[in-house]
Amino acid sequence: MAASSREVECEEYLREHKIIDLVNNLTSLLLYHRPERPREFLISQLEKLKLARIADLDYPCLFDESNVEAVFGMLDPAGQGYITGTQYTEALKTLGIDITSLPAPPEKITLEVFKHDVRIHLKKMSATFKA
Amino acid sequence: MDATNKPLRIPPQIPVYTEEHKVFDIIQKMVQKLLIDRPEDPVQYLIDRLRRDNDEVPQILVLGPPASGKHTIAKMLCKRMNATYLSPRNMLSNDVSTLAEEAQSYKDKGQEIPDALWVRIIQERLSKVDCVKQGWVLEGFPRTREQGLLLQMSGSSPYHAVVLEAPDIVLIERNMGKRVDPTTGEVYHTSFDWPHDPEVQKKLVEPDGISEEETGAKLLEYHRNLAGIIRSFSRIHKKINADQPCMDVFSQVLTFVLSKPCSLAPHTPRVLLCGGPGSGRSLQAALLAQKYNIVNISCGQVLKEVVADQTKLGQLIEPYIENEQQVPDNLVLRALTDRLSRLECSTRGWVLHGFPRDLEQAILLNVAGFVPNRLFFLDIPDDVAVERLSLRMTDPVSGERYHSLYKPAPRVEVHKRLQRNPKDSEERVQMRLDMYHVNAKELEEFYQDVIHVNADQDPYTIFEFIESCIVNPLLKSLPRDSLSH
Repeated sequence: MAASSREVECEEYLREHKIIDLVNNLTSLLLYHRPERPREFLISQLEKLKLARIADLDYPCLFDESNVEAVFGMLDPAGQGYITGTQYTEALKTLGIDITSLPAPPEKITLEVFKHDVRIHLKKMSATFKA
Repeated sequence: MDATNKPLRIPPQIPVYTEEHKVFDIIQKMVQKLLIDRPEDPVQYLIDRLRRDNDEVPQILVLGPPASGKHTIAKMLCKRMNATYLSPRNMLSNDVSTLAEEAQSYKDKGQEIPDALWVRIIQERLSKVDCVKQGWVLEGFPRTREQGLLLQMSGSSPYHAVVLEAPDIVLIERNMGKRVDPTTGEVYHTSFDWPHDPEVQKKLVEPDGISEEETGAKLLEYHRNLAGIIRSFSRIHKKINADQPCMDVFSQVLTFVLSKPCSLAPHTPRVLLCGGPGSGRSLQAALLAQKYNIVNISCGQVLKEVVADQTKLGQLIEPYIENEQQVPDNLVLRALTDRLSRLECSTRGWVLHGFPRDLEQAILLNVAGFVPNRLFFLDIPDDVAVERLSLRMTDPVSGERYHSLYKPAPRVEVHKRLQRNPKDSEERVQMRLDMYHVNAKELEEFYQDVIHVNADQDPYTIFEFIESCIVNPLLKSLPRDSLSH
């Protein structure tokens, strides 16, 4: 019984501190940038995260504003200024956002709304520490 | 076109990068340590941990019955690996800590030191900077299962546990010759390890408890506890016979502590088989591909496939193949790059043979991002190669291959229609062999960590050897190898 209660404790710890998300983010950053010295890179990313936690902005994240615009541009090649709800969900999925708990999106989504939503989601994903 | 329908390709650089920098292991260690220590602020904790950069330092236990040479081996290991030597005795005497004092007071009163206190002392000692930075070798602890469990619970577990073994009769005899220098605490032996310095010789005294009965009692005690201790270290311990010359024991111990634990990192074998004509590359590649479900890529085959597919590249290559000329390197590389960057190759791994044949091709392959992680040279004597190839015949009707010595044709009429590939004539084989020898040297220098295989054996013996090298992680290398060679 002792072992299983430890297991539960560990799982609780991982969830509470969002370790899995943290590790996932760090690994994707690492693989994307492929720095010469991975340890130093990880330290710098963690430092950034520490600062971001205090200031509540500039979380280390793989995607920035221009990526988000690019995704939108790809889905809206005709320049209509909006994308459909299905495209919206797919786009979020592409950006690695967990869409299982999201409400059904509206019919048309403009760039502004899209950027705003994605920013919130990405921030939530990158804020990998105890709330 | 929908972007998601494009075939997914993993850049070849990613697996190479992750393997080179051991990304998986770094991350795994991070999570492991987080779960053991469960700090309040994981971010800061990880920063501190990464700064320390001590994932690779040795953390070794040396266990063994009395007089098995624990002390000597542990000392030698420390010297060789530049680690900190720890034993219950030096932790008690050298420490200025209150814990050690407390333990000493128990000892002075003639009482046993409680296990919990021991573990706290050890934990305190292990968190000192020298142990953290350089690693440690702990000798003669734990002595019981309880101590082992407590050590484990405190979160400090070794990477390797060396268990020395010798027959009791040898140990009793050996223990009787034990002498100790009372000033330095160094241990000597009347017949095996007698000091050269006459000054030291005079000082030596017989330590307590080396008589037959006392050693016997200690041995009994040791054997009673050993099974329980080993259970804590079931996956990381190795028993080594200590009834051998000291250097032999040491070299075995060293090989063991340099072995890395099997990593759980996803491992895609990227194997390169080099070898002269007739050395059995394609057979070995086929065996590997079959057993491990990795992609078998024969350079010649790839070129023929490209030509048969009538792609643009194929049309460029076709004239060379028809005229039996060598295809230019850049075309070969283009064909191979296409093949090697398919998803199945990135996920399942590959075994490549027939390329690179010389240094230039090897460099090209590296630049394209395809770096093998195991490289084998199949070595055979020239006359064996000639014999293997020049007597090889093909049946034009069934396509079956026969060999007049090893696999003769079953019937006379089959034998009569056998044909020999003109490439297999003795002179041409010799020519290919000469070409191979010219380039092999350079190739070997270019790639480090080359594994040589004696290919003049039964194919399955060779296969088993290659297999073992692929499955097991490569040994750690020490910066200077002064002692072992």
